[in-house]
Amino acid sequence: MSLFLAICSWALSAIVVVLCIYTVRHYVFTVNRLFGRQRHPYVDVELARWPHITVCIAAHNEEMVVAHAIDALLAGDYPRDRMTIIPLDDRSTDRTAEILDNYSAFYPTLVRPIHRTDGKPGKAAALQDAMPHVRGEILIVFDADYLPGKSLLRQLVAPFFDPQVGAVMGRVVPLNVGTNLLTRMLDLERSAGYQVDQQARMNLRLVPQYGGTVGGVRVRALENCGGWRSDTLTEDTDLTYRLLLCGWETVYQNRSECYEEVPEQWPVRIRQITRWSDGHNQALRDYALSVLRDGFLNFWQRLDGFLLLGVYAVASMTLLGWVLTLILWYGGRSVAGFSAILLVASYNTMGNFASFFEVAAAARLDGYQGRVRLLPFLLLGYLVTLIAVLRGLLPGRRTRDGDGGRGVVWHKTLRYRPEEAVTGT
Amino acid sequence: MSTPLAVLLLALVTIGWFTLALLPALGELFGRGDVEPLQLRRGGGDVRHFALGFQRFVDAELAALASSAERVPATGHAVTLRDGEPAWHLPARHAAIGLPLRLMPPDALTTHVVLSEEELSVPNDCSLLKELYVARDLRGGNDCFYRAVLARGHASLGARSGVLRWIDAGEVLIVGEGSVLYGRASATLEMRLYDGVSFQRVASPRISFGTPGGARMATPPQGLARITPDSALVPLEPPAGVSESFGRWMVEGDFEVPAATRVPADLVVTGTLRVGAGARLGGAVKSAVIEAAPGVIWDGAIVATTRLELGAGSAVAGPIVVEGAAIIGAASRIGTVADPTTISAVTVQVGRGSVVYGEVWARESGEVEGAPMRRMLSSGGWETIT
Repeated sequence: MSLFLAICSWALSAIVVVLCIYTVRHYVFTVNRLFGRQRHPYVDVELARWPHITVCIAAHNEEMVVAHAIDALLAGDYPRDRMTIIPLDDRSTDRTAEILDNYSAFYPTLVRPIHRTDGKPGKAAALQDAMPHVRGEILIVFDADYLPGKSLLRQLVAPFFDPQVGAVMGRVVPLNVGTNLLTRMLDLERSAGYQVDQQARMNLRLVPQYGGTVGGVRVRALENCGGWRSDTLTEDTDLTYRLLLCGWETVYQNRSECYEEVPEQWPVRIRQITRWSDGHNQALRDYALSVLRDGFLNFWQRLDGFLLLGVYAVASMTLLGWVLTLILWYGGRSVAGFSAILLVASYNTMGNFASFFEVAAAARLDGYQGRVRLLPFLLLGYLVTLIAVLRGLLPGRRTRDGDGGRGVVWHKTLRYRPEEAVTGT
Repeated sequence: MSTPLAVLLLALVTIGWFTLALLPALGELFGRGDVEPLQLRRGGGDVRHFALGFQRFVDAELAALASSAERVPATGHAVTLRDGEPAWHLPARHAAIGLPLRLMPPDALTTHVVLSEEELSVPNDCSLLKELYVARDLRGGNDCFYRAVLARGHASLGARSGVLRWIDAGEVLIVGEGSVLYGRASATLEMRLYDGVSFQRVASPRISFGTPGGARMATPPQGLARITPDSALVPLEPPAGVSESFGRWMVEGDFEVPAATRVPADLVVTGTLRVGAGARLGGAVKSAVIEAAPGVIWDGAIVATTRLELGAGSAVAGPIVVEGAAIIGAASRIGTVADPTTISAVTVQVGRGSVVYGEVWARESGEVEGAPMRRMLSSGGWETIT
C-alpha cells in the first residue's frame, strides 16, 4: 500500500509539473499577444500576380448552407479566371447535389462539383478524390457552412508567395453567438484560440496549426508530405505535423476572418471535442518523437509542437490528477515538503486561471465589452471537455480506422441556419 | 443548533458565496448585453478607403450646396457641413489662381474644410489643417501642410510639403523634394515621388522615385547596363549541402548564388543569401538576410525575415515582403504594368530612378533616396533628427 501511495504521489507531482508547463505556456502566449510585436507579414500583399487556385467545399447534406458559401466565393475579389471551385458532394441525400448542379450549369468553367457515391466517407477522403481535379498550385478548403468575405481568398493566398509556406490558416469567427450559453462560451473559446493562441505562435515563429477549413495548402507541399490521409480523425492536425516535419511552415493570418456556425447543443459539442481529442492523441502518438528529434526545427518550435500535440492529453492528466489527489488524501498520505506544497499551491492559484486570463485577453483584443463577464461559466465548458476527452479514452471505442472498427463516418455538425435560408441558384 | 441544520446552513452559505461570484456572469447571460458576432474587417485595407469615403461625403455636400438658392460669391463663402464642421466653399467659377485662399479669413485655413469646385493653387507656406477637396487640379506651393487631400485631377505638392493623413489624386500625383506623406497616398494614373520624399503607404499603377532630370539623375544608374541576357546565364545545380525536393532548394546557413547564373527553383535559406551580379532567380526566394548585387532578375517573390538589399537595376516580378529594412537599389523595376505588385517592409528606401508598379507599404517609414531625417512638428514646420 505504501509503495502504491508513493507511486501515486510521484505521478501527481509529475502531473503538476506538466500542468505548470502548460500554465506558463498560456501566460507566455497571452503576454506576447498583449505586449509583444505582432507579426502579420503577408497581410499587406494586395497586389500581385495571383496564382490559379482551387477552392474545395466539403459538403455532406448541406442544402441549408452550401449555396451561401458558393455565393460568398463568387462575390469575392479573387480573379475569376484564376479560380476553380470544386464543391465535394459526399453522398448527400438531401438537395445538396441538385443545388451544386444548378451552380455548375450557371458557371460551367468556374464551379465543377464532384459527386461521391462510394469510397471512404469523410472530408479527407473527399479531398483525396478531388486532387486529380485540382488546378493550380494552391488548394483552399472551406466547410459548407462558412461565409468567406470579399477579400478572404487573396488574404489566404498571399502567404503562399513565401516559398517556405506549406499551409495557411485564417481566423474562424462564430456567427450564431447569441443563441445560448454554449454558443456564447464557444465564441469566447474561439476568440482565445485564434486571437491569442494562434497569433502568439505566429508572433513567436512557433507552430501555428492548420485547422482544415478557412485555410489552404500548397499542392506541392501536400504531395511532399504524402497527401491527405483518410485514416486520421483530424486530418488538419495530422497535416500540420507532416508539413512541419517536411520543412514546410504553417502560417496563421489573424486578419483573414470568416464566419462559421458553432454547435448549439451540448451533445453535438461533446462529439466534436471527442473527435478532436481522439485525433490529437493519435497525432501525439504518431509525431511526438519525430517532432522532438527534428533537426531543422529550433528548440522552441520542437517544444511548442510537442505541447500542442498534448493539449488534449493534458485534460486526461488533469482528471487523473484529481483521482490521485483523492487516493492520496483518503490513503492517508498528505503532500509533503515545502516544494510540493508550493507546486500545488502555485498551480491552484495561477494555473487554473491561466486559460481564463487568455480568454479575457482575447475578449479585450476583440473589443468585447460585456461578454467577458461570462468567464466563470467556462469552468462548466472545461468540465464538459474533460468528460468528452474521457469518453474518447474509453477502451475499444475507437480505432485508427474510425469508430470501433466500423470505418470512418461523417462526423457532421448540425446546421442551425433558418429554413428560409435554403436556396438554389 | 442541530447538526443537520448546521450542514444545511453551511451548504446554503457555500452556494450563496459561489453564486455571488457568478452574479455578473448571470447578469450578462440573461441581460444579453453583448451577443453580436465579431464584426469582420471589410474594406479598411483599400488604400483609397478614406478618400472614397470623403468623396462620397463631399459629393452629397456639393449636391446640397448646388440645390441651395443662396448666391455664392466668386471668392467663396463659409458654410456648415451636415456633420457640423465649418467649411469654406469655393464655387466652380472662382478665378485668380491662388487668390481664393488668400481671401479666406486667416484662421479659416486651419479651422475650415476647403471645398473647391475649380482647380486650386495653394500659395507657399500655407497650412490647411482640415480636409481639402479640389474638383480639378491642385497645385501646391512649397512648405505647405495638409491634413488630407482629395484632388480629382492632377495634384502636385511643392518641395518640403507635408500630408498628415492621406492624399488621393484622380490622375497624376507629384510630390516635391523633401516632402513627407504620412498615412496613405494614392493616384489613379501615376505617382512621382521626388528626391528625399518620405512616405508610409503609396499606391498607383506606376510610381516613380527620384527627381526626373535632376543633377543626380544625369548619370545612368550602374545596374541598368548590367542585366545579363538569359542565354548567357549558367543554370546552377544544387551544390552539396542543399536539399532539393519538390522544386525547392533548402539551405541551412548561408548561401551564395554566383554571378550570371540561374537558379531554376524556389530557394529557402535560413542564413544570409548573397546573389552575384546579373544572376536570375527563377522561383520565389526566402532568407533571413538577402544581399544582391546589381542587375539581378527575380522572377518570383522575395521574402526576407530581417533585411533585404537589392542592387541597382534589379527587376522583381513578385511581391517583396520584408520583416525589417528593405533597400531597393537605383533604377530598379518592381512589378510590371500587366502584373502590379506589392512591397511591404518595416522600413523602405528606394533608389532614384526606380519604378514600382503597384503598392509600397512602409510600416514605419519609407523614403526616396536622399531624404533628410526629419519629422513634422504638430505646430507645423520641421525638426531635423541628427
